[in-house]
Amino acid sequence: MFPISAALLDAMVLSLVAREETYGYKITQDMQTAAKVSESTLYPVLRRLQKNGALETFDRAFMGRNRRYYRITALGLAMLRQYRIDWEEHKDQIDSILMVKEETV
Amino acid sequence: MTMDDFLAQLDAQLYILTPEERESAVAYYREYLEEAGTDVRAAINALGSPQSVAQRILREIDENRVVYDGGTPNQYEYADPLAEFKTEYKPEQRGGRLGLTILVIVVTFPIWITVFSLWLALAVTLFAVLGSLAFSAFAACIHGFTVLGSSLGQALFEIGVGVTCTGLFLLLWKPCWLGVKYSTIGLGKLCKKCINGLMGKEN
Repeated sequence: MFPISAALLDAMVLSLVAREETYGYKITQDMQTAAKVSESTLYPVLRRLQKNGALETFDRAFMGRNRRYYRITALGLAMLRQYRIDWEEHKDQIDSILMVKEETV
Repeated sequence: MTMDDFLAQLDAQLYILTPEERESAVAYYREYLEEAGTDVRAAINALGSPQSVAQRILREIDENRVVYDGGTPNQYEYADPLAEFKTEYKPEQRGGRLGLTILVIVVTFPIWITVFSLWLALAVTLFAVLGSLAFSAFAACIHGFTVLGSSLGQALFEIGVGVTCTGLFLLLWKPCWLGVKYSTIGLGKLCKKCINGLMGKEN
């Protein structure tokens, strides 16, 4: 219902990768448990974060084929911390209007 | 559509990218579909057409910011990620143009040095004319009076020349002075206008 901005998407992906080294398919699945993001949304986000130096990749063999894992960098962690601060602030601002209940007559 | 078909079409759609970017995208989606396991067909359907998947990649690489709307691929908006920066950033006019101004002043050296030289020549000439008239008038009169006793003709001639020079001086000093004065003022204003124009200030 509420659109997820590019910044929020970045923040959520950073948070997922910060928890554990993970791969594209799993990131997509995990994201979809919390938000309605399409299957084709994540690749550009991961690629951008990788190019920005927030994430790095490494390959690991799995069941006879290759799996590309993503790992967060120091820069990515710093970005994630800032995103969390900004999100708190954003959430509070929205809540300051949205969540103030009307007086019951 | 098989996985290979999908990946081949995706690769073709990304022809505009570097080989490295294409390989990266195709490898990602190959892995993605392999992860989907047994139901590759359903996974391909969920991804959408190779065209729409490619569009997302191309738009992202085009450095546009994407606002995801929760999954419907045709309803996202794009905005310039630098828009905020661009509207907020205004270059310091004076500082920003100072370099340009100096460059223009240097490049137009042949023009303004000519104008300045003409003005200087005019001023020097006018002052020289006035100065020589004044000196001639003074000298001729004095010498005329000193020879008054010995040679009346020469004395009268010299006093005549002196008086004529005095008359010319009195006639010319005002126009000469005004000529120098206004050419100086005019040149000053012209310089100020040019400099202000270059620096981007209001005149």
